[in-house]
Amino acid sequence: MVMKHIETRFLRRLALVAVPLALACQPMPGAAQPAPAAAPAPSYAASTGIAAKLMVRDSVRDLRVQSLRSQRRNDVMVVQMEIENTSGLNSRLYYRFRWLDADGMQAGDDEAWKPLHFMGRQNQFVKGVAPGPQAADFRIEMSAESP
Amino acid sequence: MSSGLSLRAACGAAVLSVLLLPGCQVMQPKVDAPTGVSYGDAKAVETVTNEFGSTDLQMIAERMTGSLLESAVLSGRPTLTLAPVRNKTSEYIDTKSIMDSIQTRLIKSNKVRFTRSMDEMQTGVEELQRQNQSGLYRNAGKAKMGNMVGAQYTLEGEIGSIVKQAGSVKDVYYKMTLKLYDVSAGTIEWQEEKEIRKTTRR
Repeated sequence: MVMKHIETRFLRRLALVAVPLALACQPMPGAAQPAPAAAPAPSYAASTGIAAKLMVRDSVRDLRVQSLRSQRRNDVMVVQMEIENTSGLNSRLYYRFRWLDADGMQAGDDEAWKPLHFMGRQNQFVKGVAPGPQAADFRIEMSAESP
Repeated sequence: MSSGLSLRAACGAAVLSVLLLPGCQVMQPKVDAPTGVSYGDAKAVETVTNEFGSTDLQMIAERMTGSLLESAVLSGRPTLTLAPVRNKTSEYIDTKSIMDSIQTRLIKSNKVRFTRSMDEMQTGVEELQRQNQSGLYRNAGKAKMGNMVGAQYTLEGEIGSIVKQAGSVKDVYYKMTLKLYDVSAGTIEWQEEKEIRKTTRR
């Protein structure tokens, strides 16, 4: 009699724990579906975040932007980009920075295109300084062809 | 009879087409001649020859301006003036044009003020004399003598080159150095240089 009473209490407690657990594992109606896998970064950028800042006109061949960082110095935005030549062959890149203000409007005039020569497997750092304090964002236009 | 008619019809069609053709031409917003002249991107990389070119000027101006803007010496919006840049290369380079580009960028950044350079002083003095000594102007609103602001810093510099040629290879190395001098103390408060190498193989 006593054993049967203990068994009933145990089963009740088990049910109390199991039911919420089972509900928690069920997909809730109206809940957000799991996010689809993020698109992979293009071959010229180490991540999708870096790729979002790049404007590649056609191809940059085997060049890849490995890192991108920015900070404000003397109230002016300074950007540093690290580019790696993943090939053993020499390569040439043409690039320029485009600066945007807080509203997304272009800040300053167009910069000149600049050539950059890479030896095989070489890494280079490229620095850009905004034309003034109004620049709050940037893009980097890149091309392996002569613009 | 029929051949005469068809000849007249053909002639009529030819006259009509000559009259109608100019009306069908698509108007373009340009006037040109077959000379091959075309407009291009002023910011494109120019490698026509290895002499000093537009890309060199633009790269120098961008480097110098960028370096100055991120320097703390410009905090407080100081007054600057331009001094002539010495050209120590073997070719003619319009150094005033380089300095004008640098000045334009600095002024547009709104982080500095520029006073008249020595080259530009004469025009300013003449205008002041015209307003104050000609007797033609009312006192109200005319520019007064003795109110010019002296520059705290001067931008001075020089550009030099090394040219070497061996057989079909010609190598040109340019170096532009720019210094910011504190006028009263005579000290260099900022300095930057830009190097450019251009090689031609024929």
